[in-house]
Amino acid sequence: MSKKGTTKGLTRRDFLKTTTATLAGAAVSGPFFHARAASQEIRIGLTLSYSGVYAMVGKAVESGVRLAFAMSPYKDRVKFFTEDTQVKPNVAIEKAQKLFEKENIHMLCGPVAGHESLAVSETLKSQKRLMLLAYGANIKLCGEHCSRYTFLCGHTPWNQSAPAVDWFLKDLGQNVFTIGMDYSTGHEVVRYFAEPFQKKGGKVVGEFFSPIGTSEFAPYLAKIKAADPKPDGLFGFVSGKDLITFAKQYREFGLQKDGPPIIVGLGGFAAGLLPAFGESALGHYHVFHYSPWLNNPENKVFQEAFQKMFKQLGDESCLLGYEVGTMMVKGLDAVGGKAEDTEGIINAVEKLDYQSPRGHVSMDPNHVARVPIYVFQVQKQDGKMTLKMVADTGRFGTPYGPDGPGGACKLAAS
Amino acid sequence: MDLSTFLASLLYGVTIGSALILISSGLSLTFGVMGVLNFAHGGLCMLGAYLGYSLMAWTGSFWLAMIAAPLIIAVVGVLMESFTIRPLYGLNPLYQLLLTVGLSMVLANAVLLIWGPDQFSIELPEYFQGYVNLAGIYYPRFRLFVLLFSTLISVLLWYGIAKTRWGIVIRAGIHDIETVSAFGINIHRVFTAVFAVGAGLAALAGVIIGAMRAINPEMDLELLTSALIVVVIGGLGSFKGAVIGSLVLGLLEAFGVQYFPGLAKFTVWGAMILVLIFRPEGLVGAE
Repeated sequence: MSKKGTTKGLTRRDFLKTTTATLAGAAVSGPFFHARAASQEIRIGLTLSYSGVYAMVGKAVESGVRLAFAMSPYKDRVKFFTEDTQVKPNVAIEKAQKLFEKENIHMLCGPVAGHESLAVSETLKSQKRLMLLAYGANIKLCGEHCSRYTFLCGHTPWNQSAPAVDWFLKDLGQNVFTIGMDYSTGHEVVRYFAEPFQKKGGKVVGEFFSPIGTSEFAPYLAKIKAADPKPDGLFGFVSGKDLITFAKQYREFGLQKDGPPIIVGLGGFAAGLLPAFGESALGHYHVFHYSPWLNNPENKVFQEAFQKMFKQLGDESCLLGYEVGTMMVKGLDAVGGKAEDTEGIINAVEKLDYQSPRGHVSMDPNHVARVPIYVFQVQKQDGKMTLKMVADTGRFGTPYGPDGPGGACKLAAS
Repeated sequence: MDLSTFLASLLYGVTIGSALILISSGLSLTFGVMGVLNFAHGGLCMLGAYLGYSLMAWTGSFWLAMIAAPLIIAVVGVLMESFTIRPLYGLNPLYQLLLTVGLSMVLANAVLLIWGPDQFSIELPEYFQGYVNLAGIYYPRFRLFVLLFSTLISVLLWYGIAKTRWGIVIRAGIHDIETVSAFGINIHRVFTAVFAVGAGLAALAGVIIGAMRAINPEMDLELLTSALIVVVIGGLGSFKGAVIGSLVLGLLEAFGVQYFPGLAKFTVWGAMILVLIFRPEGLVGAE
């Protein structure tokens, strides 16, 4: 810094400093201007879980999204940006913001857990940024917290339990023993089943809620054995390693052979998990919107394409990513590929009604997908465990009136 | 509160306890002799479970898995002790604690690296499946085996510690390690051997747990927590304490679920808090 020349006009040093700074700034920001100008690019963000035990879910959903775009006219224009949310709402919000602001994504495939997705949805609502959810169906998003900028493309705790009531009453009996992991989703799934079940004349003969991570179910199994009258089936939500342990011990205690079958809402016996069960899953049921072995033309196309691209079976998580990708693609189709036209894409997704590998899928006014709900049973075919569809209960979204499970959705008020 | 439910809860409590004895005995042993609270204990159990699963998948023999996995993990234990723990003897115990915590992370990530994040389960051979009918209570055959097996292991360990020359060295070591080495006994070899046995016991517990429950990359924390509660309730460093602590914990869990549903976990932690307040050396205490 020169001693004189503090106020006397532009010194040579100042001129050099300013020019250099300007040129440097232009050089750095050049690519950004370039990128904005190249709006040919379709930028898709994914905030999923890529770490720890849920890494498989993140990868699976991403693979489905990639496949959907690879099969679309946008396959050469699309660019993906992935971030790990570590299943934490604050991290999810931060990563979502980062993707929209720094990477300029056009739309987001949102996080997998319900508490994350609600947080991100609330944040993006005021910013008018679009998010489609594969998982993360928080029941409040179906009702009170529904948002024009959020779409639930997968399933919800409600439509994975309530639709099974009629089938249970018809095929199994009047008495149910409800089971669940002791947290919000466990209680929700049980409640959405038990209320209509009892209204239609069924009886809940017993229940238990086990802490997440329970590894010793013997005392709970004793309760099931002691239930009077004997239950015709167990219904509820125990999943992941807890379900594997539960099914194993259920078998050990002779209940797989002599006792009531287990029916899990929310697809507990998912294809990806079946190998870990060994023989313990045989004969049990789950309520879900998809299985890799569904027999319809769209599923054949999906499975063939998926297995060709990724060399493995497209399980339920992959399919959910594929559905999100498909809806994004269809939205883009409606706006002629102009990914910046968020409002246009939203209008198109709201009207979606098409045949997917799950069956007939459409979007309800509360931005929750209306999907076919099946009951699958674990059966052995050619020595391997598969899921066989034993009932088609119809198509369900999630009720969005004032006495709906998530409250009233303003979007649907008309 | 009828009799058959009470008896069933009693039986299940003892069953849970017998699994816990296997899990906690290794931890109690290493602490009692070496003063090392091995936070990697859960990780060794988990590694044993995964190894047992793989061995069974390759050879189809459950017995081979049960014998080979602990032996392999015992070798891992020898390596762990010789190269990482030994340099820290005599220093502030905090160093050992931090080291074993670090080792547990290494083990957990090794498991994720080798086997991935999938869940597994050890499928038991035919003769272990099914159940026996004990006075109206259904008791799975394998649980009966675990009960008898852990009793056998407990008896062997007790005999080894109380009656053999090695046992005398170990018991003396619990009291006064310097005097033991003054007798010319190679204390380092004793420590390595004890650690190896502890690791082997952990792996054995892991294989058995893997047959009863799901094997997953998070099980190390759960097993370590159970083992720590047992050892706190029963008394650190005492094998008898580990047995008593396991039975107390098992019965609390079984009765808790039956009679105080929703509070089951709390009864366990509550018991630990009570013991820490009123009898911090544990129910049995240092022998």
